[in-house]
Amino acid sequence: MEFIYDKDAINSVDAILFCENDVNKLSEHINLKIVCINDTKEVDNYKDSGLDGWILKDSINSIVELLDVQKNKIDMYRDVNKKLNLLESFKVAGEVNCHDIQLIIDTMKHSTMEIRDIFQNQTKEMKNIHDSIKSVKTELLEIKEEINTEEKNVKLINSIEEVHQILSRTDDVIKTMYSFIGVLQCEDRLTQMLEGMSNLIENHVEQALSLGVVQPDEDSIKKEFIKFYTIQAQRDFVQGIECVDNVCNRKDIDIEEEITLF
Amino acid sequence: MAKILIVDDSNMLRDMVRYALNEGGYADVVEAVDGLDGLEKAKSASFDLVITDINMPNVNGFDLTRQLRSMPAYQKIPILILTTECTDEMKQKGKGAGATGWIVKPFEGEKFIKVVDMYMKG
Repeated sequence: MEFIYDKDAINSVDAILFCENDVNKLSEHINLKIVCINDTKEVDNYKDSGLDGWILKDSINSIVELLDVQKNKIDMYRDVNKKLNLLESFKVAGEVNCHDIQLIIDTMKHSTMEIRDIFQNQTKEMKNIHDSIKSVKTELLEIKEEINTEEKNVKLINSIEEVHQILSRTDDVIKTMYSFIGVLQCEDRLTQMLEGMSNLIENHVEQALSLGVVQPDEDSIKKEFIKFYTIQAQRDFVQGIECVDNVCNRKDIDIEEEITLF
Repeated sequence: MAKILIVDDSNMLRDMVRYALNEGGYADVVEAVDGLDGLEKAKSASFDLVITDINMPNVNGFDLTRQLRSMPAYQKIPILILTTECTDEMKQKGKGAGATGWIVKPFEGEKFIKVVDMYMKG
């Protein structure tokens, strides 16, 4: 909104509104403060007074017409202000989401590295087990050829014990595989979180397009998103603690507290 | 032989617990897919130990524990909560619901079996 002040036009009009440039300062209920003057020579006295306009005393009846003329402009400014607030809230929501998505990405990277390390170690272990089984197989075949001798009975017993140990190692590998599958489940949960947040963002954009819907502020958006956050973040939110550095990191869990008996 | 009920909405987690129990010598293991299924199975059979997750659809682990404790047959049966949650607040909640113990997953198989042995074999 521009400052409307035309010295040359002063004598030809009965009233002028001079308004501030900042649209955002328009309130929902517009109260115009208009000074009633006797002569146009008095206008300069009120230019920087914070008043919205002036009107000649003789023309006070034209105030209503003046307001009618400005009404459309006021409505337009109000609508623009509303849209700006909506855009601002989405900007906030976007920043919140970007921050949280970055946390999720970091967590997924951490989990992926953990899985890679475990997988590499276990693959190496499985290869060693395979080689062990191969050598045992060779021994057992030799024993089979010489099964009637007492010496080979001892060898047979030793080989059987070795096979038993190999099975025990295989068992450990399987249990470890289950453990890192548990880590993979954490990543599945994160993927679901991303998908859920994406759906929510799409819904909000649709609402924005239709306009007239209640403008979501940061807190209300967080309340919608919180169900997709990590469990720790949910607890923090309920307690009013800022959700920072919430990663699915088992290193933070004290192994001594893994089991608690009541 | 001890009869154990595993309640968890994750198929993989139930497999893992079953494997650990089988390796520990506990072969009679029944699985339930959520708290509601767990309740129905608990009513239809007599279990010596219940191992349950917390975050499950229909009936969660805390409610399951509370409802089991209201049943005469399960007032003294050990109920272990097996969960990713590890805060004191949640553990107190579990204790308040009537749980006997709290195990954070993923767990170490040997430690887990030691706890089960403690309740099953005394």
